[in-house]
Amino acid sequence: MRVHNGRLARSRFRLVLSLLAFNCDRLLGATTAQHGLTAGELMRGVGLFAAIAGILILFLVEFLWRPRLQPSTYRWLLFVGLLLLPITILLGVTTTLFEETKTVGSCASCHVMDPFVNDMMDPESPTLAAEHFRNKWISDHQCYACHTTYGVHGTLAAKRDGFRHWWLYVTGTWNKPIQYSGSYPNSNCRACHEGTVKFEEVKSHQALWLDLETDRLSCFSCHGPPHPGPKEQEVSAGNQ
Amino acid sequence: MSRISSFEDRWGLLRTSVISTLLGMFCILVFLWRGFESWTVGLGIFLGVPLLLLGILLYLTAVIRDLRRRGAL
Repeated sequence: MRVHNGRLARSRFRLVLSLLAFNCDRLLGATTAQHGLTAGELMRGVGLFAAIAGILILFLVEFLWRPRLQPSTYRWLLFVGLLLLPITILLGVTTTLFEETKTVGSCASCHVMDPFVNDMMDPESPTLAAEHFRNKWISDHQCYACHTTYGVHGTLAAKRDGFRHWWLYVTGTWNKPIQYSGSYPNSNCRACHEGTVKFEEVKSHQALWLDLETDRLSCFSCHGPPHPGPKEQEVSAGNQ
Repeated sequence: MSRISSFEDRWGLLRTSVISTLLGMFCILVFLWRGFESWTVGLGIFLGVPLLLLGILLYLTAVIRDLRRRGAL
């Protein structure tokens, strides 16, 4: 009988483990099997766990167990629920946000961006974004790679612009057709292309080097268009 | 008399801190669970994070006041 109970307990334990593993896999995304666990995915899991634990602890301690708890236990539980777990959650949510905002999915989450994302993934499209995408010249985070000026300043500026875009989207105050605000720096193109044999072989690149370096002449003067124009955007929006 | 009266919560700071933190955690939980969408970012990041920070700040204020009352600071 004891042996039978032991087997039953072991099989239940295995079942719980497999369920946990399945749910963790689902929560952390299917990409884990291909690329391994990223910092963003790990911290998302940590944040989720800390948030659930924090909600449970605070609710139980403050609203159910409070009269029965020893003062020292109450203090320690508050310390965990009001300081340790919230700091863990903040770390988790910040890392998740910074990683998530790099993905194409985050840009596509605002439907106003659909014409741009659809065009990029269109194998027939002649735009630079589509050409880079179908040839896998940028392996991951295709929007972010071209729209973030390199360095910390670029990252911070991208987060600021991200907030502005989010605000325009949720308040419905964006102007149609969407246009790029400001000017696109050639340094974003040069960061990958400069120094390559193909780039150096082009005589006009050599002749116009100073203008390209100082942004007096845009790369898009000769190459492009980078994205669909206003008319193509309307057609793409109308097809949905 | 409550057993926790030694941790004085004269201004209701702890209770406010707990409620604020609970709300913040719930909003962030929705963001982490559902993933990056425009509405979850608004709820989790722009509402949840400030609420969580407010909760931490109120808790620290309550602890400092309690320590001062006991003459530990």
